[in-house]
Amino acid sequence: MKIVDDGTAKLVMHPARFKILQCLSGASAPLFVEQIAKSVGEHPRLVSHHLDILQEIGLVNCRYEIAKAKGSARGIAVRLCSPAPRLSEVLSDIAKAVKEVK
Amino acid sequence: MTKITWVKEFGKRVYLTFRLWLMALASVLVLSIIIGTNILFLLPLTVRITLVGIYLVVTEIMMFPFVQLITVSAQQTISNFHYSKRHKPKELYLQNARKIAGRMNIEYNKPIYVTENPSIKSPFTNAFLGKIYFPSSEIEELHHTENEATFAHELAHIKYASRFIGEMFLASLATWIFAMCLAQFAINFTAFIIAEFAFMMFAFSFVIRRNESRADWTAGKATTPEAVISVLEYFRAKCKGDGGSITHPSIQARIRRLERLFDSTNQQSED
Repeated sequence: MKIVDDGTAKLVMHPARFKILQCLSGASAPLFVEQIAKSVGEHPRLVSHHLDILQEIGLVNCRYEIAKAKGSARGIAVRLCSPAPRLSEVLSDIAKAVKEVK
Repeated sequence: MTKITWVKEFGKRVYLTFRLWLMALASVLVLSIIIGTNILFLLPLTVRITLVGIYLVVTEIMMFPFVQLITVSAQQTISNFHYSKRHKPKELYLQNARKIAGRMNIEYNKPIYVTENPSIKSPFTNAFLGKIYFPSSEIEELHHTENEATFAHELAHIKYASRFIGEMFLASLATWIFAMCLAQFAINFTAFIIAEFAFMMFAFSFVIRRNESRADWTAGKATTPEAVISVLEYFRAKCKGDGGSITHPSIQARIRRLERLFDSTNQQSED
């Protein structure tokens, strides 16, 4: 299986990363880090760390946007994340592997 | 470049555990002789020897998981026959090791031992010899930032080894003083043993767990707290438990403590 050979499976099988991927794949629109953190029950900085890794292996696309914030005239940069096209393929591969094991 | 040495890991961990066990045995022996001469001097010699013998056996079995030691030895012996050298770690994962050591003000020139023995599931450090051992499975399964965090944690044990040994000495001394004081008042020998043992366990456990927390904190500062927390979460999932032990605080407690670093690093960046 490709995801096993290229090491993606090992990185994806981290509990927090897997939860983040599930959250992103189930979302209809791109999500902010804070939203993901709330959804998976992790600290936003921890989510950010996992998103860096997931972005590195090409499962998540991230971009920065300027959002309005109280006390800041210019606004603040927020990270907006969406699933990469490869994600659905990876998740289905994992589901297949789990079925095979069962 | 940090040298990565590939070793067959047979018996290394058992040896380490055995060394600790031997040290504890020696200290308990000394303690028992003192107790024997103070409390039991009124009893006949045969009774005294029997009681000290029982005391030694009970304390040893309770103080160090003797059964676990035998199980681990057997497990390692069996697995040593079965595992084969199939996986090789990528040197890339540990190429920043020396950089981290430099950041932590440690001169670390010893090789990092990478083992593929399946019975070794987590990295560990022999603080006395200053050697770090990594299971190859972990190197392959974790991201390089997380491997660096693990390495920083193990390096912290080496950095604070002398402090740790000093604290262990103080804990032994405190136990000894406690036992000597208690011996003046204790009437029941069994109650004395339980009280002394409880104190010893509490003191040693406190020092060892404190050492772990200190290593987490140092690793979080040297790398990032996120990476250390991520490794802890990985182990929580792998070990399917979060109860903590005599030597390690619970993973949840360690994560909560590390999350405090988020605020401090935020403040630093704002400054």
